[in-house]
Amino acid sequence: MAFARSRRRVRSRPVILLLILASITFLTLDARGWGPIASSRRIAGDLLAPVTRAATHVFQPVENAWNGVFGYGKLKSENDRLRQQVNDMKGTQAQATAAQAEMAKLLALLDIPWANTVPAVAAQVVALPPSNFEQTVQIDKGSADGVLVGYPVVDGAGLVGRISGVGRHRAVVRLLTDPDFFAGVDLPTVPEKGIVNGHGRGKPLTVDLIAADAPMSKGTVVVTSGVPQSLFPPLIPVGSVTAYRKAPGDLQLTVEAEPTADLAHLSFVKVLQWKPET
Amino acid sequence: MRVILDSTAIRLLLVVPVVLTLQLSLVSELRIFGATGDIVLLFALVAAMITGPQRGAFIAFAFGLAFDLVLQSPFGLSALAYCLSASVVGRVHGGLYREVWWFAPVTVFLGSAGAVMTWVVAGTVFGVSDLWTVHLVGVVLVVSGLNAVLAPAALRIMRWVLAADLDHAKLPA
Repeated sequence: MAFARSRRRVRSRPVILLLILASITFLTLDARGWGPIASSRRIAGDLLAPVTRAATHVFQPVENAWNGVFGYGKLKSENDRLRQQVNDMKGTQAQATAAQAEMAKLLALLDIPWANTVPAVAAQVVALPPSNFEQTVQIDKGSADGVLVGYPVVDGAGLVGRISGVGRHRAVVRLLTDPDFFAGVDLPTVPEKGIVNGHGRGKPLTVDLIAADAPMSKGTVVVTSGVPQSLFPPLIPVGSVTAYRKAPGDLQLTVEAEPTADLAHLSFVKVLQWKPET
Repeated sequence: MRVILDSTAIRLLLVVPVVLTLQLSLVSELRIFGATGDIVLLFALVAAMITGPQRGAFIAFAFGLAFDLVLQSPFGLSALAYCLSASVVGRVHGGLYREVWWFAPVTVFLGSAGAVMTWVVAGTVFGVSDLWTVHLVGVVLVVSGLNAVLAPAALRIMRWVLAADLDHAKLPA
């Protein structure tokens, strides 16, 4: 032990400086989009994916027990909320069916491409973000299934995010709450197009470039704009306005929105094989 | 010498993917107040406690780099944060005159908190936005708390991984 301790007195500063320099070099190369880093990430993801999937299956009972202990209160309130929602939905089911038929007719008239004609790949969410500072999920479909980086991802409620990394049989979805997520959007009551941006976990989306005098109300649905060359098809629901304000002297409204998709409980999603018009 | 280095290297090559798989398949799914643990960081810090600041920083760098491969955050950020924290933890633990049972969990708790904050500061410098939120407090507490609880088990595992290295250190010159 005494010998081991004396070894620790060896000057470590040059080694640590070298490691810091190596880290900064990697960070710089990654920021410049150096290809080998992306390739290494893809290979590592592909190698780990089957093992991780098997291990997730094995550890499922542990996860269930953990959620039972630490999420009991949350599960109970969610259960109550869902029961209430089912009751409400029963009452409005007939109305919804009629509205759906109406909407189908309107979509046909407007010739909106994403609703029916954009080819899509159904996928299952297989992993949550591996660290605390990422707004991503992993899905079980990859390049072998026709998924490419940049494709929009939706669920039944609306936009979920975009594909940010692809392996052969898995892909990473950057959620729309990620600070690096941007999308062009429309608000039905506003003539201008805005830009929606994520701000991290638990924080609302913001919609920028909305004129200060634009008519706005809480609950207004924000949809993708789908302008030519847009990365997203038009009219995908993104969120609903929860707050808006205008500071004196501001030229634009500060608009906050809640995602329409329940990003905390994603299970199945659709990857739209959308290629922007060129 | 070669045999010793090889056996440590082989054990490390086995442990790194196992720890990564556990992090991705189990730890990341177990959330407290929306935050998850970080056992990759735990093993990096424990390695530094066993081997000292120099080798500890090197092993922590390797753990961090392996973790960076499966993250979408800037590549090298975890490696930077882990190796800096490991060098401090290795230095602090190396200066210990007598081992006390509670020292390892406390060192890991503080080291983990330091590593998370280093990650956030370095992340901000390298363009990761919206990191300074209330959620950060929960992340620091959950990562540090879980790592402190798991520290004794991780110490046992890493002592096995680095056994050849430690035996070699005890040999007379």
